[in-house]
Amino acid sequence: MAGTSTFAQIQDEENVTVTMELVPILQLNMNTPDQVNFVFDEIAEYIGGITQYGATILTASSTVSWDLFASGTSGAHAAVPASRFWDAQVAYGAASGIVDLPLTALELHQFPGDINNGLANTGGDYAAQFTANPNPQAPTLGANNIYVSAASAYLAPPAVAAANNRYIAGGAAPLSFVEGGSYLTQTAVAVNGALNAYYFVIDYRIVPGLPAVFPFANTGAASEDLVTIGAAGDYAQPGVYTMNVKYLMIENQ
Amino acid sequence: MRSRFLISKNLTKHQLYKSLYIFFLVFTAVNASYAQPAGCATSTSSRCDGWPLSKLDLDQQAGGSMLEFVFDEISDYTAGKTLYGTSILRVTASDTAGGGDCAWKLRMIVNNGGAPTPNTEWLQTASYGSSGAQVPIALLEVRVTNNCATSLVNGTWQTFQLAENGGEIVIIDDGSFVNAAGIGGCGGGQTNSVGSYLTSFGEFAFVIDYRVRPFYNYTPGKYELNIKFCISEDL
Repeated sequence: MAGTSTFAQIQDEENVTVTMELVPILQLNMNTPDQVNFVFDEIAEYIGGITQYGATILTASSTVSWDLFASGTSGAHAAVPASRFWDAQVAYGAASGIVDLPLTALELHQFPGDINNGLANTGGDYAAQFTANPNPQAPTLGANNIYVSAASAYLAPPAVAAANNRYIAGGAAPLSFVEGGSYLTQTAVAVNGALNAYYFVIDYRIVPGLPAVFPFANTGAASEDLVTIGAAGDYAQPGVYTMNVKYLMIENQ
Repeated sequence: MRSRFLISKNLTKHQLYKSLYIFFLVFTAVNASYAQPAGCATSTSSRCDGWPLSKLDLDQQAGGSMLEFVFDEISDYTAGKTLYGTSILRVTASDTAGGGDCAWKLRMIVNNGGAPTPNTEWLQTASYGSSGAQVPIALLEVRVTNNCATSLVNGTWQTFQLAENGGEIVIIDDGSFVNAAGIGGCGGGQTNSVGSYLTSFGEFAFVIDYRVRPFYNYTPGKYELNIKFCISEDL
């Protein structure tokens, strides 16, 4: 190699490493009381039911795409998924009625509805108006019955695209979701059919019927009123019953 | 590239062929193209003194040479996070030959380590999920300031041009024109002459701020970028 002369020159370098950690955050807040009471102590209430408008308001914030669903459950259901019944706490009077009241007797209505940034969830949501009470009373397949998981714990999201496997927002498939965002930066309440929404108003209805057989309870495919799943003449045992509605916000998957 | 090497007369034919074969492989390897991390280019002119008479010093205010952005609250994602004055660059430029033609250039280069990381993305070092988009280099913003506003990008938030591996932000560059430092104050323009932060901090020191405003819908995880600050006579 031939010899070469070298010249000084200004040449220097400094390095900085920039790291960034994005922690996934899903926040669901309920700004309303966590106990909703239905007290049926008048004949008209048994026939027409009780509707609680705006009983639950949900606000969501998420840094990732997400789905939201409601899951109806009880102590009995959590123990045995096939026991899709309210928990009987107190019985009034003679024990001559049915204490296994179907969880699907609880109906939900949501606003806004049809919130999905991708493929529509074929299991539907709770956007339909409550079905009118037929006269005379008859088992009615409505479109608002709460989702109750069939063969697994209540945490399992509605996976099968079938009636009653409803989401409030997003859906079962990875292509059904709501984009990450927050109600904090929403400038207006979303309308029905919006791609994304982070603020939901939930109404509840229970119609015991007269006799109290809960004619609107159904799985989406079949009625779960007390006569259909039991025998003619069955009716609900008077008393106090409780169930749990869990609102679950999960990362889209 | 041609090269000459001495062939020993004592090599057998077999050994000669073996030697040639090995040399060919080495030659081929040197000329093969690999995906390289981005780096500082080498100066081609020599008008200033070299290191340590001329140098670039980085003063990191906290955390050493590592800056950390942690987003673990919704408000962080929306408002972003800014690290003010975390890096301070201090320039010393010397020309003992006294030719008066010493002019330096200063720039920042972003480096994501190269392949297999896609060219426009941060290097992902840990994954916390699968949904969302990959984080683009364009998410990182940088602001350079000094008291004499010598940089053309002084005081404004910048992203790297181009927002990809090797993208750069030019802090000081006025071609070969020498903008002399001020005497007792700012000289005006893009000061790039001999001088030192010790005697003219407002012209030879640069305060670096960093900002990230992610908003939503990026894949959760840990990410990393390297920023190189390069001083040289040529860009």
